[in-house]
Amino acid sequence: MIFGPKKGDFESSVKKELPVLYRVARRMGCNQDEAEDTVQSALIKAYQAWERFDGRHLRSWLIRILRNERLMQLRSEKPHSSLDEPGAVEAAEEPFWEEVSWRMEADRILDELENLPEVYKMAIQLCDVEQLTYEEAATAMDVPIGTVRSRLFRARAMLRKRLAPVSGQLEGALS
Amino acid sequence: MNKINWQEYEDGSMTPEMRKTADELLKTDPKAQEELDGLRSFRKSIRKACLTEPVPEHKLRKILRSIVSPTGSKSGSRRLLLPLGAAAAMAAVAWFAFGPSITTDPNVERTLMVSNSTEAAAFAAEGAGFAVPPITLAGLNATLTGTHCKDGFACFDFLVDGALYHVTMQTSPASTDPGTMKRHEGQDFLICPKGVRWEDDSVNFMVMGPDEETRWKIAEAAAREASIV
Repeated sequence: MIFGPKKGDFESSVKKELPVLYRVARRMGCNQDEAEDTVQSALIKAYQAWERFDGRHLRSWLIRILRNERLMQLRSEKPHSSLDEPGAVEAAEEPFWEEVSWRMEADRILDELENLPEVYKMAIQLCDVEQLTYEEAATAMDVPIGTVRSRLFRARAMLRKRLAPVSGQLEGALS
Repeated sequence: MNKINWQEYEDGSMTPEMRKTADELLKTDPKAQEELDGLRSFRKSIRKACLTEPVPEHKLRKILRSIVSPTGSKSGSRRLLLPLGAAAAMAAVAWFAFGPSITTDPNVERTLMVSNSTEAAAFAAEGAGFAVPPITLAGLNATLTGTHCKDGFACFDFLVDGALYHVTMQTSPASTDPGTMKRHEGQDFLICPKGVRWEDDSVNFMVMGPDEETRWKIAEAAAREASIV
């Protein structure tokens, strides 16, 4: 049985997750100030709920709170805003990783990542950047593991497609 | 083109049969290895790019600390971190009164309800990044109700005779609102429609609130207390 953590553990446990939370907030469309504010309000909520936390998947738990905070902010700005699926697009079928050699500038990659729909950005951020397992990412995004997998597949495909034209090496590899 | 899903190969979700096929392919088909390397390289590039973004870790740790250990916990005075909405509302009050020429960003980083002026000053100084003097408004019927601050900006909220007044401080230049200059106890004040302004040690002060006469009394008291520090 897993027992919830003690109140005093909060700071030491959460401290190392701060960069992750900030980066995820940025990936959810926050500018720098908004990211700090969103992290702050998520931390307040997390602190209030700390004794109810079951001690499993801290990072996922925090990201889930962060995501809810962001969602509330978006809804207060635009009543119909969502971080969920933009359409019913799921996994592409064909493999496409042949002849790929990625030498992209970081800014270019970030720009293109920024232009992906929210759910795909999150899949990339959580799985590829923060290296959460599918289970952890599923908990953080509140979706089934299969959805994480398919979103990640789709996200990588979309990102690759967007980055390919500037690489100069990937033309013809997109079919 | 082979039909291997390299993502499944990488994440371990591939069936044992399919994995065996993929492993065989990797041994015999250079193109398969290129595909797999491509995926790995892609993930590496994305991660590297995302991790180049600067993270204000020091600031975030301060936020965390302020949540876990509000600075007034030792004295037992009432301290409460306000929810973001409340902080924003208080900031908006200051912003509308101050005007965009002085504070263009109404977002306030941290807000704290506190009644002790020394603790309020310490809290505000930490967030504002400059020395914030403790202000009590001695001699007036004033109660400190809270403080809010962000980089280069601090504000104390006082209830004076039952009405809310703000004493703001900022390091950026004040706007040039029209008003009347007044010299009092060696200090120049600008009395303008928005409030009373003065400068002390490169910090621009302003008092805002509903009653003009009370604003002046507050400014007089605050300037005196700030100049002593």
